[in-house]
Amino acid sequence: MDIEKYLSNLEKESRYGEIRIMKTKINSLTYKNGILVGIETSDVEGIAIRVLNNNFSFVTTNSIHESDIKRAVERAIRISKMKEKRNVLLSHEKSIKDDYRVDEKKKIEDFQLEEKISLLSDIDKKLMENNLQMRILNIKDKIQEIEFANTEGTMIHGIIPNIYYFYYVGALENGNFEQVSREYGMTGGYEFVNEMNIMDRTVDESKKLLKILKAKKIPEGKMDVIVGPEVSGIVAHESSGHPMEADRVSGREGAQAGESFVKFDSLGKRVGSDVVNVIDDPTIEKSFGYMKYDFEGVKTRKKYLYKNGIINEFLLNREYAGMLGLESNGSARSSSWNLEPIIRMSNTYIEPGNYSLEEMIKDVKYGILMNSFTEWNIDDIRYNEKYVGREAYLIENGEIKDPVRRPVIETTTTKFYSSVDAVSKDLEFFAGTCGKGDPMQGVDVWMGGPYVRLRDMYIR
Amino acid sequence: MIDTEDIVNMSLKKGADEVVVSYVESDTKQIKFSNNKIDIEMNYLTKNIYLFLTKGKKVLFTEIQKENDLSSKLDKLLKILDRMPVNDDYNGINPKKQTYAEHQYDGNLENIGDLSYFAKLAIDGAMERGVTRVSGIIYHTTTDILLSTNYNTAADRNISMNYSVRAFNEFGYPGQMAFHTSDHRDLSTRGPDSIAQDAADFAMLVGEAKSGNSGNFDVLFHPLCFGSLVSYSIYMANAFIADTGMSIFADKLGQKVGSEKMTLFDDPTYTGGAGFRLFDDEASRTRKTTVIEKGILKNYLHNHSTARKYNTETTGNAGLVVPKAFQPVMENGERSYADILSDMKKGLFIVNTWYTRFQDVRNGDFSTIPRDGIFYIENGEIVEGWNGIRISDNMLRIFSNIEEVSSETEKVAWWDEVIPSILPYVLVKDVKITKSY
Repeated sequence: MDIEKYLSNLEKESRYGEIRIMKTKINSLTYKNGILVGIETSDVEGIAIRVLNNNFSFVTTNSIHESDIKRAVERAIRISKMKEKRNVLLSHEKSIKDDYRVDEKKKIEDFQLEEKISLLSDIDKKLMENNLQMRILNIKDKIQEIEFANTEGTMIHGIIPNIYYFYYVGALENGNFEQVSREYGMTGGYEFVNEMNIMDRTVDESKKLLKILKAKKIPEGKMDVIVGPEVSGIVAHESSGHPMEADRVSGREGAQAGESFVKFDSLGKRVGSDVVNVIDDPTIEKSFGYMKYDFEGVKTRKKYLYKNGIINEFLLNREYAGMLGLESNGSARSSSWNLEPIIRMSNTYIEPGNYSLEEMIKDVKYGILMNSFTEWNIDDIRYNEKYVGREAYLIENGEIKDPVRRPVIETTTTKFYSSVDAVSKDLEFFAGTCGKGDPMQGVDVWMGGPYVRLRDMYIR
Repeated sequence: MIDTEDIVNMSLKKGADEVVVSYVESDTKQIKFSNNKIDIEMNYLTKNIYLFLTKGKKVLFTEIQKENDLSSKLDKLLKILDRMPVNDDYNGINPKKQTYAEHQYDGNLENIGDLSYFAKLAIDGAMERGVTRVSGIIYHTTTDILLSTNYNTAADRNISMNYSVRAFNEFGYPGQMAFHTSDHRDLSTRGPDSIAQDAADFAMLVGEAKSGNSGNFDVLFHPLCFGSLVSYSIYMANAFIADTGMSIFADKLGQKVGSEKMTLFDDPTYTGGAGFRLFDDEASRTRKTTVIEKGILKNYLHNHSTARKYNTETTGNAGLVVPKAFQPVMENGERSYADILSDMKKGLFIVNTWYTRFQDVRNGDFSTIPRDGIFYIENGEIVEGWNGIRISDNMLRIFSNIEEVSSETEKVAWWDEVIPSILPYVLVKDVKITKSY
């Protein structure tokens, strides 16, 4: 497709216009209880046109016929001139010209189908040998080629490969059941398999279910809690990342994913103790949420959402940066060729501190260590949240004791972050597919963090 | 237009055992508004060819865009199939010759005009009821599908609308309503203005919400709220998921999973809803399938392959690999929801919920977060609006504690939470409510 030809139409007919062509190649294999269910393979491309005149319009087509594309461009221009005007001021951004490709050490095209099959089959066999009866495994490689151009001179071409792996395992004993699902993902090639060590991680984590089945509930009450990186990661994502999305704060997601307990005048207000720092950083190389540029052609950067316990910086695209008189911090993303760019997270995590886990445990008289979670949810202003522990242990007098069954943290965002008194040196990431938007857009993210200690929490 | 039969024949000639080709052309218009203003208007124009190939009990699924290099693409795909291990669970696509019901899409829904008109209707409709802010989405979708297999060819056109509106009162507390239709007559009775008014009325009734209490309460679920529980649950009634063992319905066929008041179908033949389907993804004629009858789990949802594994007939719910529910319908009761509410001594009326997550998908332990209208009831009267609560209970216990369902049903569909459904209000006794510490 000749992007420049269509861009020239937009230059004449819009206040601002952009064209994005996305080609996505996907191969996905799924195993269910020892059987390769099937392979899904696709190689699709489409064009998205976003135009700003009286308001925004967004028109997409995956037709390769020139007449259809021309029709889509004309339609985008026509819709953007709708009667209902809205005062949109886009932030001023530098125009960029770049052509880049993320390296794959072990190229996706060189990693044979047989290798993928034997990888999943070997993991599945090991799980079965360990008496884990219920198993779903999936591995997916994706190569995304994005060509972006706007009427302000930005023209970016990027090729971003990534690998995703998901497992969902259940253990059943005398009607008693425990489940684990985890996702791993990385930008790059099939070096992922060894670098992420997915075989051992899957088997080790799944085997824990058999012990957890035998664990007992502890009496509910107040106690100290240390949460592991999987839990601190989901907390960072749900109760720092989401409430700091400027479109949520403004109410744009009101009828679906909701709004935010944070308001535009909340910057500078305290949300947690001064050891709490939460970051969103798309620039981490090899990360699952890696982006050199966002989907509005803005160079990405690291952001402190909460800094020393204070609400610090919103996630912004050009529309909301313009509204606030700021520059965009490069947070616009789209999950597919046919979906509008909206404000999204990338790699969101609690910044590590200075403690070792041992030091943190030693200073707990009575409490729990919650290494991982199963059920979780949070309300639509990102304030009331719940995390149910999967692998968890009792701590008594500074020592780890027996496993504890499904301890429940049900608390508020401010209570959680205000109760933090120590943060470990560790940092581990887990992949996820973050959902937002209507139509729903699932984007690749990392969530992570260190061990985090909370004092005097009510645990059920 | 693509000739799907040609692609089937070409694939068979090249060595495939079974083939499903669907050509889907869709034109979706969408408008999104918030803070009483239109944010963006969108139009998605797509033409997709989906191809499902099997060879010697091996299965592959792909999406194709460039029909001009189809022959070489097919050669490549068939080579991939040769390299795969056998799927012993796979039992073929439906070989029976199908006949289809007559279906005429609603032509009056075809050219309804500018969606911004409906957005304005919704905003004005809500504002007239006294709210301060209105957000929402309106979709209008036209889909043409032509589907061919080794054994059948089917074609249909569907036109539908979905809209949801959330309105906020002066204290910032919301009410919400969401609707689906493929019948233009709904636009005059349950159009975006009417849905918006419902959302606004709930928001106004909430007033300045009080922090709710934990404990066990009888709960009257609005169809929208119950729709979320149904959508998550009926997914686990598809045979593929039930067969993994990780489902509340696994190994429970013929057993009690709900109270006698609970009868749940999947009914894609229900005309007038956005979930209407004439045929499923392998061209089997759709039908009304009883999933739960008077509390007993009667059927899983099947495609031909899963049905063979379970020694039964397809229910016309393909998904080529994973069967799917198209349009849940729950049998209604005899009394109006207003009568049911007026008989409640102490309890809650909940309009909507989200973020339903299971800590135990096998036994049903889960929680979900009510929103958009939580009302505390005493002696049959709404006393006050609440916020900040969570339902932390067990799905099978909730189904078993259904005391009554209303005589009215509503068409509900919302975002990623509620698939198009037709459901009554549902009274459940003794629901566990928790809140944050």
